[in-house]
Amino acid sequence: MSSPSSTERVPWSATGALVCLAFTALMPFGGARAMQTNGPGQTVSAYLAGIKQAARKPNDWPAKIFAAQGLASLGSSALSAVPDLSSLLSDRVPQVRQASANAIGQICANFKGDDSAGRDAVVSLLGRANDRPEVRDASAAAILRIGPRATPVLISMLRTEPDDQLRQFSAELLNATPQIPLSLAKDLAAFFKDKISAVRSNAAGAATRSVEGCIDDPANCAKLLPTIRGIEAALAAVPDLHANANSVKATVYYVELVAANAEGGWIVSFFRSQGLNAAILSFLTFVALIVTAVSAVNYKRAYHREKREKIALDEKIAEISSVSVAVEKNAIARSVLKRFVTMPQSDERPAFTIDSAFASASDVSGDFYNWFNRTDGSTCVYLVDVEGSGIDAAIQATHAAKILDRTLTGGDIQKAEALLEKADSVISKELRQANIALTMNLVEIYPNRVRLANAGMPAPLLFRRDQAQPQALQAAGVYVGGGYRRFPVEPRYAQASVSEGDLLVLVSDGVVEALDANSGIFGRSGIEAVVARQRDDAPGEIANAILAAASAHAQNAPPADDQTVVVVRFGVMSSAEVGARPVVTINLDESEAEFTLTNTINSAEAFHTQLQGQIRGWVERVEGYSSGVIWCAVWELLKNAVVHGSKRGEVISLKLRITKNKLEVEIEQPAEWRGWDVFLGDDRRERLAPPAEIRQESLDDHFGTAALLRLADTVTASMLGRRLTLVFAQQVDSKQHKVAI
Amino acid sequence: MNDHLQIKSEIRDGIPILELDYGPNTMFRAQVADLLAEKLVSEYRAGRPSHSVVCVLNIKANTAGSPLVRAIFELYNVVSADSGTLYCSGYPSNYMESLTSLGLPALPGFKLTKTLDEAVAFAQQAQATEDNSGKSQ
Repeated sequence: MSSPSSTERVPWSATGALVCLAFTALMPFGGARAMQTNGPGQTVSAYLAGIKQAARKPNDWPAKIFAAQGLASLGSSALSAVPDLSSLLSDRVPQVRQASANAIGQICANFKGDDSAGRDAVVSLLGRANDRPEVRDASAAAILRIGPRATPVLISMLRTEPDDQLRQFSAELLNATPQIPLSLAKDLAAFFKDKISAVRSNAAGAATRSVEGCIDDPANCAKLLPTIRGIEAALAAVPDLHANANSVKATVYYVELVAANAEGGWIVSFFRSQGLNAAILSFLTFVALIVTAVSAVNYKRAYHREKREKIALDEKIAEISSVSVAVEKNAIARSVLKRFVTMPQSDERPAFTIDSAFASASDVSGDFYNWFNRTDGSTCVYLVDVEGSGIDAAIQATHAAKILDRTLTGGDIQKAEALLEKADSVISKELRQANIALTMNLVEIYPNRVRLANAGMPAPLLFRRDQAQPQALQAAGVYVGGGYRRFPVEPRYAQASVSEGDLLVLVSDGVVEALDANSGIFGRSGIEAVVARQRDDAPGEIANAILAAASAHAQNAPPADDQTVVVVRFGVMSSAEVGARPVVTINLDESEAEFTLTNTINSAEAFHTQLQGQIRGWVERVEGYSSGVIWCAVWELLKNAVVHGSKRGEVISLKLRITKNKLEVEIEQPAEWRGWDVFLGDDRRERLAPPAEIRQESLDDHFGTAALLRLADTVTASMLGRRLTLVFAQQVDSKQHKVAI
Repeated sequence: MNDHLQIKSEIRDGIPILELDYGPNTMFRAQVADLLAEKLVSEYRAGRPSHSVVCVLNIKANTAGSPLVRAIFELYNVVSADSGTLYCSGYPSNYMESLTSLGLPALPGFKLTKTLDEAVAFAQQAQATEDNSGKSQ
């Protein structure tokens, strides 16, 4: 809205008024009286006469001014005098020209005469474009007073007038015209690219004002929209008219809004009440702010959403990666730890039965235990607790278990504390980087005593038969892998005699330190209470009962640490355990006897009572075979298969087969026997061949195989020693070994 | 108890007697031969009179096998090293072939008897002979 407002044109009006006042004050004669005494027609004529008289008197310019002012005071009734006033516009006296222009304006305001008269008046006034400022201003004021009827003339002047100043003056006037019909404004588009900058800007201003003015008639907005858009397009095509184009565009938005809001509604009312331009500007500003704010908010939200999503994604990736690693670790740990879980199910050796239970703080355990048999007939059991819990502890346990398995079972170290020292040395050396430290204990189990070394584990409890209170086996030492060897602590070991029915209970600290709601530990008393109730149960049941009690103590909360219980019962299995196992199945026919035998702790007794009679009776049916010889050979085979060739619960197959002139005894055991060629080979057979005198060096302390070689005619091994076949030739005198007593 | 192991020693009429009893499962223990031998020898050495040259081993168990044979062999080596004689009674008859197959009964200084009394009688006779020969020297 850069075009000047009508009020800015006041100076020329004020100047004209001052001139008029001056003339009025200077008037010495009775013109005014004449106007007062005569009618308007007479007055106009009088003034015109005065003008004509003055015209004949070039210096009588006051008369001309007086006449012009007099006509101006008459208003539209002096229209007929406009041509004469227009002639005064070219008078040589500026004041006359100014008074004349002023008079034309006043007379022609709201001009209702014919168009030609008005057009002529405007043209005359426009002719003052190059006049003195006061005359020019007076002319401009006069044209603006003429109003809308001047507009076509002004546009016509722009189109046809060769004088640049006149065209520029016309453009200025158009821009100053308060209301230009849109039907005419569209013609202004032809001047948006005029060679004269002022023409371009004023034409654009005039068109813009015209467009803005149309908003006053909202009912026609929709109809006017094509015209407005045309003007907008024309303005937009001129670089220096973009401001006008944007203004028109704003109007377009407004018109579209109004068109969409057919009834006008509160928005139009609001804009009207606020003033159109300001309202549009405010509206657009408001819209822009809203759009900007919304965009900013949306952008900010999108940014933070993307940031959150990226962080979440990164975390997810890390989690997936971590989970993937954990799963991999878990699988590895599980596969390795599986043997710790499944291997110690139970073992029944003649001197003891061992079983265990464990509960881990996570899905894998850092606790484990194992045992191994030694050549002196003793067994070592060790329980290990790797620091921490979960997969890392389990993996560390895996490493440690491998080392312990290799370290403890090899060599000829006998004493428990010496074994722990060796384990400490190897683990600290091989797993220095991992910084693994173990708490562990190791118990040597002999038929009638136990010997313990301990590196930070809870003291094992020895429950003697018929004694209510257990004996805590106290031995001490720092961590294995953390200086057990270098920092010896007393007592270095503990030992105790044991007898049938005694129980030895080993636990990891997770059992003892299970907490209840009041932070009270399960402790030794919790273990004692369970054993007091269930000491006659199988070791596995006792171990499970201890864990169950520890869990109940902790209100069944998940264990805070891995929990392992190992129970060793010295002596035989309970009668219930024995009865639960099929020891011998027998299938006899004429030429073959087949026995399926299960390795149990009382296998010898079962074989002695169930097999001896069956085999001897089956053999005695046929002459030429000694049932005693056959039975003793079978007995030795069974002894070897139970002690060396199978584990508890595994099956041993025994077959006796009678063919022509011979009886075969075939035994098949689960485990290989790689020493068979040494003990059953030809060299040894020759040394032991009867009737040569037996010397102990010939027996090599292996009396069992020596007896087989002496009892049977041939002894052969197959399947890597898993199968042994003894052949007994039919004898007329089968009592070759009988000795008179 | 089917795998208990018990060794008692006594001196009857000046004759050291070792009484061995165990359950059937004892024969199926690993390294049981060493255990038996150690116990028998230690009991013999601990309980025998200084002048005794005989020892009676009475077996009360009803199962046997190579572990028992070896343990007896070890005891025999100790007794025979002192120029003594080992009398063995009560060896389970159903497992006698284990013993005979390894030739132990054929060794000098080893005698099998059916009963403890018989073994003690033979031992007293041998001890007396030894005692007399010692006096005559």
